[in-house]
Amino acid sequence: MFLTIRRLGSIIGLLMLTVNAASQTHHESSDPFVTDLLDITLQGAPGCTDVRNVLVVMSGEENQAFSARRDPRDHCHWTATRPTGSFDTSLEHFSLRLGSGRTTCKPAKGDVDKGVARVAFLVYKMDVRVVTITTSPVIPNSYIRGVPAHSADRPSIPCAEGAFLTGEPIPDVWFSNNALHPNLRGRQYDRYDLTLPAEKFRLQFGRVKPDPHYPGLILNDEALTRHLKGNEGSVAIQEIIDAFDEERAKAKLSTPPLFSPNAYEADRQTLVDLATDKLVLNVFLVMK
Amino acid sequence: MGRARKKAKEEDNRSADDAEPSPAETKNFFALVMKVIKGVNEFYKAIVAIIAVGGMVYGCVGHTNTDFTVLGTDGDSIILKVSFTGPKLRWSRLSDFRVSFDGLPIEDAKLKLIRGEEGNALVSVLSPGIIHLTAPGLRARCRIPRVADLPDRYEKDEIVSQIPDQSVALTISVHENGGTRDVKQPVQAALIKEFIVRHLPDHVPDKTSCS
Repeated sequence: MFLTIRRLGSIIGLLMLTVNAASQTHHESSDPFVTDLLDITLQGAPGCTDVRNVLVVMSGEENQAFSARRDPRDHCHWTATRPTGSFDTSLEHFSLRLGSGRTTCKPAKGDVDKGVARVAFLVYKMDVRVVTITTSPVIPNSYIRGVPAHSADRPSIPCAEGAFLTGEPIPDVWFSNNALHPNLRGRQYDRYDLTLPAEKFRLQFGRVKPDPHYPGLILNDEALTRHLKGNEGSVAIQEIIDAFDEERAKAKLSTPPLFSPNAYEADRQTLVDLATDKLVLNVFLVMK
Repeated sequence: MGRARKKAKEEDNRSADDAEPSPAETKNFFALVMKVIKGVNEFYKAIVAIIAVGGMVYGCVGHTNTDFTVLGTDGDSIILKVSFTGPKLRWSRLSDFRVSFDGLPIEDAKLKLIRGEEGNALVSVLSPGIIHLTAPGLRARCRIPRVADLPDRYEKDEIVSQIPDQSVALTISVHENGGTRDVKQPVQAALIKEFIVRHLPDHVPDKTSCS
């Protein structure tokens, strides 16, 4: 009788705990979940045969990207261990560099049972380039990549990714042809259409650390690319200032349209303070 | 001669018939034996019933008292020794495990029993008494006031450096004696330092959900 009572109590207890656990599985994901393991699924690319290398960018820190390993049994399944330690899934977001493209930014979900963060990305064809930027003379610059959410790739989120410009090539920049040839499709702003998204690549002159809230010169905008010849070119300081001015006038620098001589002079003064008056921006846009 | 022998034989037979009990006497004897056996059985049943009822009374009547002590950590979980006093046939149930970091800039967190120990939420005299509580992660508090060029939440190194001087509190809801009460135990944060270090993320973004 004693054992029966104890067993009955245990069973009731376990049932209550099971019910409690079941209710917690539907708990919203804002609870902290700390791990250093990321489990990645690529969707939309049957077989994923074109994907041979995956780099993971966490919370926009491009200079701390880490590589993922392919599952030998499933080429659309990759796993990555963050080499510099753990992260809280509920605070971070992720994006991938695939060599032949990039993904949107997405939060991951914690899998408590397996102890990993899981995230799935839609892979689709896009115009990506390898961007190389140097200045002469050399000044500290950073860049910010503003990536829109994609309606077809839920739950993607708009994000800003960036790093200090080292002069090394920046791979997989989602760079629509429209930025170079705005009239090709007849509509200048096609690249902001969600069906044809592209990132906004902003140069932040004189910044050692990228700041998503600080405006910068949009590289993939015709205001600047018109000064290039084909996929490369050198842009002098006056052309840079003109591009700034045009982008500001078209309200592309996160401000209302502004035609201000003061702002124009401020841009000039900022660049002159950084590099006298002989700044040359060298841009190479290699199509993948 | 032959007549005398025959007479002696008849006398022997007559004495033998006198020694055997009659059928009625035999029946009465067995009835008595059965009555005795039945009586003994009834007595045993009564004794067993008394013992059972007594045992139940002894095992169930009375109040229980559940408490716990933090023993330390194995890194992944906090190890607790749960003590239980009270009737042997009663138990208490533990739930709603929480840890609050009073002086440390870490958000209060819910804990849970590690996998395989879910049944240990029921505590009785026969329970093993040792439980392991874990959490999927800990989150640093928002930095108030904000400091320029620093993340809006405290970073791991800042928190770990404060551990030696701070205490934390573990709270468990105990369901017993028909009610629920919170049992709270303050412990030195250093006692569970490894747990804190392992469950705080190494990386915190500059901007998070802090408003």
